[in-house]
Amino acid sequence: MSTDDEFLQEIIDEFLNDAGQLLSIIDESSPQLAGRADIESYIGAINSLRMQSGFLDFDSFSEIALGMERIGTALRDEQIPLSDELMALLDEARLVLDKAIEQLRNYDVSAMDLGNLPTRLAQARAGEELEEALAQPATTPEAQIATISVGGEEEALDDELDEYSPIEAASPESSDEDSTTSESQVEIPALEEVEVEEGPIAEDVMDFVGDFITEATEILDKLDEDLVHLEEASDDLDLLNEIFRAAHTLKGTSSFLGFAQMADLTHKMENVLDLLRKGEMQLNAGIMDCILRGVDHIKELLEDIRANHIQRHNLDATRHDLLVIAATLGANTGAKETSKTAPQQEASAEHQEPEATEEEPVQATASDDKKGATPRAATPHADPVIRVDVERLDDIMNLAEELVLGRNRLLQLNAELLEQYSEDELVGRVDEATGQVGMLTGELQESVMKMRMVPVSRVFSRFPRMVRDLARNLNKQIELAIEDHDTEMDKSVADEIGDPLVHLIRNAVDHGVESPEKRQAAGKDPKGTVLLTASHEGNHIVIRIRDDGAGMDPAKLKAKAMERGILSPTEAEQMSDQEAYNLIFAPGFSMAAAITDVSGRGVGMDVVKTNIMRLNGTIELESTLGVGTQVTIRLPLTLAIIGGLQISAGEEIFIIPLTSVIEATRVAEGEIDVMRGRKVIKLRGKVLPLVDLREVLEVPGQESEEESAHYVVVVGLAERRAGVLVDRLMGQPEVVIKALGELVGPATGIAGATILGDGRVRLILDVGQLMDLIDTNKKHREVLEVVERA
Amino acid sequence: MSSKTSENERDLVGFLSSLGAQATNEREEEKQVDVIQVIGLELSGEHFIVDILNVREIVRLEELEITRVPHAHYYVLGVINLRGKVVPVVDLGLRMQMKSHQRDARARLVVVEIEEKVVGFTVDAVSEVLRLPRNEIEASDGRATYAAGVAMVNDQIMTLLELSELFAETAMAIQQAGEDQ
Repeated sequence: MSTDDEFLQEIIDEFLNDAGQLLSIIDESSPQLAGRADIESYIGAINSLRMQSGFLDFDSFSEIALGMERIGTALRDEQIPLSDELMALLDEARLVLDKAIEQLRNYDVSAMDLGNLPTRLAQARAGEELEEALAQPATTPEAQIATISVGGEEEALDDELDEYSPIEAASPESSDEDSTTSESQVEIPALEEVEVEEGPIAEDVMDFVGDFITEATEILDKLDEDLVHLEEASDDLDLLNEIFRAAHTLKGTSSFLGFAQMADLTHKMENVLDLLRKGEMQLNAGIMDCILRGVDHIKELLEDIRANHIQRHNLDATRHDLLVIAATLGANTGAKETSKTAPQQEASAEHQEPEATEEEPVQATASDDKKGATPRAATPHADPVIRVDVERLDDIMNLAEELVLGRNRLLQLNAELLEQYSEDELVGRVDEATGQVGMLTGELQESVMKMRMVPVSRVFSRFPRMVRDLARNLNKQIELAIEDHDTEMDKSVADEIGDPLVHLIRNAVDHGVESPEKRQAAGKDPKGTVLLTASHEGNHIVIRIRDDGAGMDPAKLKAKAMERGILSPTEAEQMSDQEAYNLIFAPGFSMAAAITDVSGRGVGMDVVKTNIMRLNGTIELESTLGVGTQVTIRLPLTLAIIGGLQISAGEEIFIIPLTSVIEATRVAEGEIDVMRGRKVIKLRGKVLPLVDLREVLEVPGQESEEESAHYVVVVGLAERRAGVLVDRLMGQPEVVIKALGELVGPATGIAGATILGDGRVRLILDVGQLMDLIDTNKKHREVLEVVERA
Repeated sequence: MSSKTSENERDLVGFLSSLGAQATNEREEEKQVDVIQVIGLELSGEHFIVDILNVREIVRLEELEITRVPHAHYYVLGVINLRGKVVPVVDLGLRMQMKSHQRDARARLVVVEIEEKVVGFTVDAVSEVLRLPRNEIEASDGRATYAAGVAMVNDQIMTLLELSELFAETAMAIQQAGEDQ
């Protein structure tokens, strides 16, 4: 159960990640629902939300989202007119979604008090008495909710959307409303055809299929067990609820991934289970048998999915029986009904499979059948995937890190040993063993890191759709080309990098690529291209977003920044083009002439910068006016074990994370200037602020006169660059960052400590804080100057 | 460097195991009269005691290589490598607004564990292991928050240190807030 909970939490977290973006699309498109493009993106976003919420078992959310979506569809199809009342209703529903999201943050998926909102949404959609519905909010909420949730209307709507015939789903509804219906009066709905796309699984969902198989296998295994228990304790409500949830999850996920047969079957099973858990019918052997047959079929379908070959199965007998059970409340779960209708179905079905279920009378020997069914279905299958708690992985990671430290120490001691007792044969053998331990440790470390790696394609997979929708919205022609070179990155990095990429790609689409007319006028292909690439470069992942759009104009950027009060005219004059590009990262900066629904609120790039900084990454902009813009993001492969550059400043030795190091160069004392209270150097025409470690870290010991030459280590974090003034470069050890802890104090400028092979503790510099420190020092000096002048 | 460390460690192991042996022998007795074991410390001519249950180990200070941490609390001398762990070193004298510790062969680092955090503090010397009946420890007069109580041993006043007051992260944070103002 606890793993279920954790899994659910994981799904909820993922959902919340995406929901923010989808909700903002909804918000951006809803004020102008009049436009067709807006309605499309509105419907698209709300549909994605609803689909994803299906994984969560959060019915209240799905219900409201469904109501909104159906109104959107009705608006698009011009079935109902857009009115202020309708907008108000949609806004109200939107607020409820916010509340639901708030609730989800506490991993709470219990039903919400929705009042009569679902009914009003449904009425508004039907175009009936809208005014009336709106005029009487919450008069008889209970009764109305009851009809919605008990009446299975949601399911009915669901079906319609999933393009199943509404006839079958109408059956539980009718039976609910009129529960006294006798057997003879019940009309058994006709079986509809399920559309099956045979062959391999669609490529766009392939990324999710692995997880789905793992999840479905777990659910099915548990389902078998639970169902057997249920037969012994048919009134165990908790158990029934759990079984219902399992079927519900399977339905949601399989329909999301387009596995129509499984979705249809689980849906029908869910209907039956729903009636059971609500106590509207009693479990009997016939019903149980039918459910178990359903489970077996799901397993067969899952085998096809595992084999990446979808094929049509003849499931009609079971589907029919499930329908009959739902329609008659299980009253006639006998062989009669089955035998009457099944032949027709069989006749209509083209390929028949010799299914045990069809030959056996449903009613007969249910328990025997079940005993036979379970082992038959449980074909042992070695699942190549195992799901492991991230915490456990982290534990192993920590141990591996400790081991790396131990190995480093061992290597050092071994070297000393070799030096002192090189003659001794034993020392030679120790050396051999040490080498082996060293190698194995390295391999272990690498394997542990690989366990945490996820393909970057998982992050990229959402972008094609996004670009297509955005381009359509903006009336642009844009192709998104992706080259991910099978790059993998640490899960923690992958989790964080999605949002910044969304902003950057939106920017490329909105500001970068021009309209087809403009492009043609400029002699370009009317169709623009955005190229998204990922690759490995040394210890980094490099992600590039390149567009062949208009490029950025430094002069315009400066003008805009001055207009917004971010930049003074003098500052603007001294500013290089590169620095001007970086203005877009300033909080509150936006180049959009008008706030479009895509971008222009001036928050996006700030978010990009913050996220990339958190990952210790760097971001770089290159742009040529009229040709295009390229954004390059460099991220560390992993966050725990890093390469470091060991340097000395005065008497002390520090380590700069290599992920932040861009280059190192030698400078003479004379090359260092002071500009506006800051030490700077000019490096290839660029002015680089200097961090004098001795000064900002208060390194004891006076500066020796003869040391007139230093090294400058150029470091970068997000878009900021600075030079760190050091005395010597002393090698590149691999280090494990250990926190200093609160006890020590603020330790500004220090990211943590590490223990080197010689057993000494060395401090790792925090590049971001160092850059802040020179700013503070500068301000401090300015204050002093003012005080002195006064 | 390496040979010194191992010697130091042997020294320590011996010290600690003798403590352990003593503890086992006298445990029975302790139960009856509620006796606590304390370690006597010297700092700036004053005598302090700490509950032995908090003490992880005692290290010769002059053998340690302390790495200074910039922008740390003024009483934090830096960090050391204590068998693979990075442990902060606090100058107890400075922490208690007294004089800094002496730097001679008698100076020791007392490594304690408080609230699952390991921290070392410096003292001029470690004198002895004492067994004190709990009822001989009198409540402190409240002048210093770091004193949990005082006891008279061999005509000497000894102050029992309240380690959680001195080194708990919350206490340090409050201290820091005071410094900032």
